Amino acid sequence: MSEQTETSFSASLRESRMVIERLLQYKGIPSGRRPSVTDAGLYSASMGLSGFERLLEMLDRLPENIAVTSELSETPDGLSFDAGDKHAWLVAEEITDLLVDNYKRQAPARINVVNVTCPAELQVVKSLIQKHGLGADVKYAGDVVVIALTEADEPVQSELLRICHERIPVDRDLWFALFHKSNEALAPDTKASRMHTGTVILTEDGKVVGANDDEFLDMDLSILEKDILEEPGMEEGKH
Amino acid sequence: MHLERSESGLGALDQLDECGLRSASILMKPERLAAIQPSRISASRAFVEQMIKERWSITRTRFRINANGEGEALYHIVCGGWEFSFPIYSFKPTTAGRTFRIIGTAWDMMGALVEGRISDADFETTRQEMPKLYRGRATPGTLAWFRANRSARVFDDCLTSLSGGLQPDAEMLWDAGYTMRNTGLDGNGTFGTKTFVAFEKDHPLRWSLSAQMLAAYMMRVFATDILNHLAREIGGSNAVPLDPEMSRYLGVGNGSALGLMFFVNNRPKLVNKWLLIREKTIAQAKMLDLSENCAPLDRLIGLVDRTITYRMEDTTPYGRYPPSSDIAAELATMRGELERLRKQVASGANPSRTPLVGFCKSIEGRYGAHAIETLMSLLIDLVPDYADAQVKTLVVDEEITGAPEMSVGHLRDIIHSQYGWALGMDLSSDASRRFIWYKSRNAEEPRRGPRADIDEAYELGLDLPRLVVALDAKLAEEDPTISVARFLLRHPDSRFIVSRIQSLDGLNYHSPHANIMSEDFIPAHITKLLNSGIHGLDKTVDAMDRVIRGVLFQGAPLPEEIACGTASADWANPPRTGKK
Repeated sequence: MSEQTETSFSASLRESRMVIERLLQYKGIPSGRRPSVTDAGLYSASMGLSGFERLLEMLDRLPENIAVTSELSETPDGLSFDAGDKHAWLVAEEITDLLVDNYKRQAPARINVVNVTCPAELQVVKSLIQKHGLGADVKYAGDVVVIALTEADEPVQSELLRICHERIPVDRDLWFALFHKSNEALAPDTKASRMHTGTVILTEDGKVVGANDDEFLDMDLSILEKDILEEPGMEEGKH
Repeated sequence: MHLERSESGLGALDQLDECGLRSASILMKPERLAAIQPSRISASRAFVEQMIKERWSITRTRFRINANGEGEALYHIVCGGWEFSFPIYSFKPTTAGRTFRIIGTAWDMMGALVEGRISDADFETTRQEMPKLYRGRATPGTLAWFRANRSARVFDDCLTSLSGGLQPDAEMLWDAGYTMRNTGLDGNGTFGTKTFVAFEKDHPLRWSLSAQMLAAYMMRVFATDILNHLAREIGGSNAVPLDPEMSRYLGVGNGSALGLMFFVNNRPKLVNKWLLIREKTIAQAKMLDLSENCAPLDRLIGLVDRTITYRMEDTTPYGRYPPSSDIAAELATMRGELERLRKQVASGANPSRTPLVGFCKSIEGRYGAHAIETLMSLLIDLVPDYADAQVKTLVVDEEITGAPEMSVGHLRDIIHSQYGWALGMDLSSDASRRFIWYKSRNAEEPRRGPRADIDEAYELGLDLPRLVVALDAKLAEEDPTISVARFLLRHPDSRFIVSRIQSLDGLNYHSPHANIMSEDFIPAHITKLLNSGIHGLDKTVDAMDRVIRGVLFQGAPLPEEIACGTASADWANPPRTGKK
């Protein structure tokens, strides 16, 4: 059982993924790429790479060259991969895929990566590849990142499972700053949008005119007509 | 032939794939999913069965609440070698900020489900942290935080009666079904709660939704306790406690809306697994050998009778779904057919050893979906041990893992064999793309609005058929022998849908066959599947095609009955004993 106190705060798997993915959405990263980039960010945090501390900096760099297609060529001892100056999180899963593909085809499962932004972040491939039951070795040789697939001699606990059990340590204030920043990915609340769920019927200008609900009499209808809603829990010590 | 059943309760059907079960083309249509009725494998009912079998003990160890309803309570739960605490913080009801939507800011009670015996320090920390919600932090070992409100009119009527020495009006209680309503139940990592997949292998709440069900059951326990307590506070020696018969009437209210569509999108393996174990259990029941033993048929007819009575006595005004009187009438006709079948079997006139197979096939198309699915749910009670064992297998890893070595041609074959429903849809008309799904910044309330009103940057809905169709078009232009890994280099935006399709390959029941962006799509159908079928809510009333309200645990045994072993296993669909 993980412990957390005021001085040792930690984020769960679900929270970490949610915050990172929402921040990616806020930054305009296409939805089809978000889950894999989210996990790259997740492992960056859990493995002690740029982590939550530099998450916003990483997110600012992600859109750079995002439209550039990675270039792949075969070499006698494996693959050569030109990332086109894209961020490591954008290509980490591509590299993982290629290693697994070659391994399954009994081709050399080794890849030389060039022109990648934030190359130190490619360490996340070690964790990403674990879902395939495999491992990876990541080394740096000048401007080239050399990544080779490894087979574990015995089962090791995956980084993902470790996060489930131990969570990811993070500064409490930083965490809540990221959490609230991630809310920017959600739609602003408006009187009109309150009509988009629930059983209360509002007019276009937000006036309550009825409800299809027996509990109507128990409700504070003024909530639905306010210009700005108080967010639950934002008033500390409310009760 | 009786199917062999192992000591674990799993049987021969566990060796079969889904091909022998009902077709996804029937089952996965939203209107059919909405017809699925509560059964022994619904989470609430399965959880009560577990408590009964294991004789769980629930003890109130603290109850310091004044006549205004302000104070605290603590319960201690023991099951096998495990203990849980259930701290509750009770407040004076206020109208300001009160709504049953999650945008509410005032609740009559808040509480937590915590592993082990909660320390005084953690009890106080939880009291401070919980009202902050998304700014708060659960203490270690916390499995869930929840909030609930009284149903003011029913609660107050009961209180007036009990404090004056009288029992409440039984008709009113039967109609209402509850005095406390769940307004939010969060776990699985939210607010720092424990991640479900990290639960120990022998954890009694390891199977999906069981932790939430324990929390909901405890809301019911507290609802009765605070009612009796306040009656004594107000009425003194004149007060009487709620009659146990009436306590059993009362469940916990629950309302859900669009959030459950996100749940279905995000938990496809759980949805598939739950529907699969339901189909397997139904198949197991249909294949019972009745050639020398009519007892299962007698049992089934008895269950149908009980359900007919329940439906005839249920005057709940449903919206889109059939009134209970219609379902009762269909079940009565079906019962006649079952009685004839029983006579044939008893006299040896029916040549089949497994006549329920043919019977179930024969009712498809002749009865409404809600009546048919009612019978399917009742069949599950014919194989209780098998059903209970299946529920324990609901430990689901939702991680999505692709297969990068798969060829483009193979991926395309999967699409054409498993997503035919999507390939034939209208996805181009304005009506087919009228809505987007999003969450409000306020309390993350899920909403669905016209595309014209909401910036598409906020879209959170899974547009599955369009993603599949678009992917198929891209795949068609590629060399079918290249690997998916190579394909995704050129089409990185397709990564999510490729991985999802590969990860769910071979699972028949993972996604509703629907375009959820269309103006024709009824969100309530999916909410009803979750609330009625999977969670086990009864009397699920729909409103505005998007909200489903109902009641959990109506008729369920009380804690003292569970602890002393006198709880009835046949508690669902209780008769209206207080009828005038």
